[in-house]
Amino acid sequence: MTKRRSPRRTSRRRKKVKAASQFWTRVRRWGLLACGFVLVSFSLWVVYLDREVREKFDGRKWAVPARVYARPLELYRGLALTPELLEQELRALGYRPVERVSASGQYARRQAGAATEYHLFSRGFDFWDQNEPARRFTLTLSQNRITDLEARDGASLVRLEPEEIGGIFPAHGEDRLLIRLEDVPPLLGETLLAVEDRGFLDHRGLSPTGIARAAWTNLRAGRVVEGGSTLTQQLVKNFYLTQEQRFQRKLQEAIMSLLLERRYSKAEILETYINEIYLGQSGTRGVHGFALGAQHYFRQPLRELEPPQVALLVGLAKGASFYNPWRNPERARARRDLVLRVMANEGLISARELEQYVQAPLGIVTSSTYSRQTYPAVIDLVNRQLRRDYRQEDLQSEGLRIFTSLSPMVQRQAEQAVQKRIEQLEEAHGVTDLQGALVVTSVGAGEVLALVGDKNPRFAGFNRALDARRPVGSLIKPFVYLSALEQPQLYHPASLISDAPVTVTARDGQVWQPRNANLQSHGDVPLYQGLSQSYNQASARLGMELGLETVYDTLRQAGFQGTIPAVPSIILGAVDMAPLDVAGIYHTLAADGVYTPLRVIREVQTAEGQRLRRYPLELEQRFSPQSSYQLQYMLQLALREGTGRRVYDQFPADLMLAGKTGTTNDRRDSWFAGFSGQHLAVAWVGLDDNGVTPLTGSAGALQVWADFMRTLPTQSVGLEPPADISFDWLDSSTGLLSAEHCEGATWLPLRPDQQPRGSAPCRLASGSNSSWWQRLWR
Amino acid sequence: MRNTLRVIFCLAMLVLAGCVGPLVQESEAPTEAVEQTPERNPAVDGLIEQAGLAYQAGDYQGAIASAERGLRIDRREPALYLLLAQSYLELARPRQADEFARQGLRYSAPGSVLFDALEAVRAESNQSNGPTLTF
Repeated sequence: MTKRRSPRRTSRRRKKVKAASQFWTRVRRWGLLACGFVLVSFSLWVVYLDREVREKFDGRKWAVPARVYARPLELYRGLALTPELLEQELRALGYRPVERVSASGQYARRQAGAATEYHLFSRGFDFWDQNEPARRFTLTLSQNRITDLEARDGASLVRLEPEEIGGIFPAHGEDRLLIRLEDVPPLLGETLLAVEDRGFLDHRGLSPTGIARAAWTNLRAGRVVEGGSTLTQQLVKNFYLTQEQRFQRKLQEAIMSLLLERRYSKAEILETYINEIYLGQSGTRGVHGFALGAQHYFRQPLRELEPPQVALLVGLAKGASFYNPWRNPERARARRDLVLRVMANEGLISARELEQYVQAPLGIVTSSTYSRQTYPAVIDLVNRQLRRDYRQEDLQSEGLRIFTSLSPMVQRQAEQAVQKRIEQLEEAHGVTDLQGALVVTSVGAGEVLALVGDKNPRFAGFNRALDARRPVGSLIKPFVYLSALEQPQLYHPASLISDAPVTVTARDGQVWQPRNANLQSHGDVPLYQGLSQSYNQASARLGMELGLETVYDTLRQAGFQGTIPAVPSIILGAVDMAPLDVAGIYHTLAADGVYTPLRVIREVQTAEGQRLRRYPLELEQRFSPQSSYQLQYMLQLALREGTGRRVYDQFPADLMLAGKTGTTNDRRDSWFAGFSGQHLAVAWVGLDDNGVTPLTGSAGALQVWADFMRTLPTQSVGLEPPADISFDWLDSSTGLLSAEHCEGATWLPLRPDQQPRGSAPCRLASGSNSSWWQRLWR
Repeated sequence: MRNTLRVIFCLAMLVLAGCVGPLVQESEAPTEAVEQTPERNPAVDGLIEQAGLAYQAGDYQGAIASAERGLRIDRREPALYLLLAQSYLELARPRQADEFARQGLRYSAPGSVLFDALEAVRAESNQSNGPTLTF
C-alpha cells in the first residue's frame, strides 16, 4: 500500500522549496547587482585612471628648473690668459685631456719652447646672436697671452660653450635636463632596452612572462621581492605612483600601463622614461633623466659618453642609491660590468671591447668638485634681478636658460683671495669672525664678473656683497672732489684748499668737527693732495663750500639710489652702502664719467633656445670726460703717493691703477675700491656685529683687493687724455706754474683755461723728481 | 634723412671692410690719403662684420648683441659705437642712439667717415630728442 503524504506535509514541503527558490533567486539577483556594481566601479576607476594618464602625459610633464650659465669664454689673439686659467675653464666644462684630439670635448697640450700650444675641439652652442659650431682649432699661449689662434674654418674668434653654474629649482627638488629621443645616443637607447625591457617593442605595457616569473618568486618568498616590470610599468610607477609594493598599487600600475600603451606611441613612452628616471641625488635635488645624469656623474653631455659610462648610467636605473658610485664603487662597478656583458651579448659591443671596458675605471668626477649650485652669492643676485621681470613659479618650472656675465675664472680667484687673506688677517691680528665681500666688474660694460658674499664662498646665507650696508667712510671723497672738478672755472687738481681745522654747525645746532686721522693740519694743500692723502679737514671744507646738495647730486648722478642722510658728515662717508652699490658708483668713475647700470644677466632664452629677453648695455655720459680724467689721475696718485701706496708693493710700476681706501670710525669697516683699465673691484672687510677691528682700509680690504688683482691678467688705466686736457708742471704749495726738476713740482692734467698765469720761483730739487707718469710716457 | 644716414652708414662699413679704395685711377698718384682704418684685432673685425650683416638684415637686436661682444674686446672701437647708435635709432630709441654716438665720437678721428657718420646719427637722434647738453 502506497504511503500517502498528508496534505499538510505536502504543503510545508512546497513552501520550503518555494522559499529556497526565492532565496537563490535573491542571491542571484544580489549577486548580479554586486557584479554589476563591481563592474561599474571598476569601469569608472579605469576611466578615472585613463584621465589621470592623459592629463599628466599630455600637459607639461615636468616643472623644469631655470638653468643659469656663466659667460662663455671667448678666445682671440691678444687675449690675456694663462695656461692654468685656460685649463681650469676646460676642466670645468668637462673637456678631457688626450694625446690626440679626435672628438668634441677634448684637448691636447704641447710645450713649444716658452710657448704652450693647445689643440682643441670645442662643442657647439646656440647663442643669442648666432649658432657657434663645434670647431677644431689651435691656440698658442705665450707670456700670458694668446699669441696665435688658428681654426680650420678660419674663424678669428672662438667661443666655448658657457659653464652651467646653477639653477632656480622648483620646491619639489627635482632637476632634469630634457632631451628628445632623436638626440639620445643609439647605444644608450639599445642598452636600456636590452637591460630593462627586452620585449618593449612587442608588448602592450605588460609582460606576462615577466609577471609569471616574478609571481612565482614572490609566492615562494611569501612577499613581494621581485618585479617583472616593463619599462612602461617603471615609468608609470615613477611618473604617477609611489614605490610601495602593495597589491593594489601593482594592479593600478598594470592598468595604467595598458592605458598608457593604448594612448601613446612607444617613442613617446621611451622618451618620457629617459627624462624621468631617477639617477641620483645632488644635495637636496634629485637627478632625473639620463642627460642630467651624464652631467652629474661625468660632467659631459650625453652624446660624448663612452660605452663604459653608458653602461654605468643604464645600470643606475635599477637603484641609483644602491649603486651610488661614490659611496659604493665596487657595487657600481659590478653592476656596470653586468650591463657591459649584456651589451656584448646583444652585439652592441664586441668581445674585445668588453674585455677592454671592464678594465676601465668608472670615470666619474670626484663628488666634492661637483655642485649644481656652485656660486650661491651670484645666483642670489641673478634671482633678485630676474624677479623684477618673471614670476617665481615660471623661473622654477619653465626651464628658462639664463646667460650671465659671471666669469668663473675671475670668480674662483676672487673667492680664493677673500678666503685666504681673511684667514691671514685673523691670524696676524688675533681677531676672530672677520668677514669679507668682494665685487668685481668689467670697466665699460658694467658687467658683474664675480661676487663673493662671505669668506666661505659656498655658504648660501647672508650675502654681504648685496646686503651688508655699511658706512663707506673715505670712499665717498672722490665724489666730493669730482663735484669740484665739475666746476672747472673754480677748481682743478692744483687748486688750493685749506686743511685747517673746520667746524660745521648744522641747522639743529649740532656741531661737527672732523679731524684728520693723524690729528695734524697741513695748511693750504692742492686738491689732488686732499684726495690722495685723504685729508678729512680739507675734504670737509671743500664739501661745505660746494654744498651738500651738490655732493648729493653727484652721488645720484654716479648711480647711487639708496638713502643719503641730510647731514654734513656724508662728505666723509656717513652714507651706508653695500659693496655692490659702491661698485656701481665707482664704475662711473672708471668708465670716464659714463654711468652704466651694473648687470649680471645678459640674456634669457626659453628652454627650446628661443630668444626671450636681452639686458643690453645702457650708458649715459653724466660727468665730463675732462673732469673724470682729472679725477682718475688723482686716484692714481692716491695709489702712487697717498694712502693706497701699499698697492705698489705687489704690482709693477708700469701698471696704471687707480683707487681709494676707506676706513670708518674705530675701524669698524675696512674698504678699498680700485680699478685698472679693464677691471674694477670693491673689497670690504669687517665684523658682522659692527665691532671694532684693527684694520684700516689699507691694512685690510686693500690687501684682499691686491691679492685678487694680482692674479688677474689686466690692462692699465688709459693714458690718453681727452681733448682739451694737457699736462703741466705745477708747484704744489702755490698752484702756480713750475718746471721739471723744481722742488715741489707735480705733473698734473689741466684744461686750457685752468693753466695758472703766474709761475712759482724754482729751487732745483736734489735728484730727479720727474713724475713716474712722465717716465712712463717717455 | 634716415636714408641719407643709411648711405653714410653703409659707406662707413664698406670703408671699414676695406672695400673702398682711393677714388682715383691706379696710374695716378692719390691726391688724398685713403681713410686709414687703424689696425684692429681680427676678432673685432669679425664682430663688426657680423653686426653689420645683422643690421642690414633688420635684426637690430642681433646687431646690438654682436656689437656688445666687440666692446668687451675693445671698448674704444668707434665702429662698434656706430653700429649700436644706428641700431638704436632703428629701434626708435634716440636717446640711447645719441649716447652711443657720443661715445664713438670720442674715439674717432675728426673728419673721418666714421666721425661724420656718428655726427649724423647724433643729429638725427637730437631731432627726435630735442637738443642735448654738451660739455
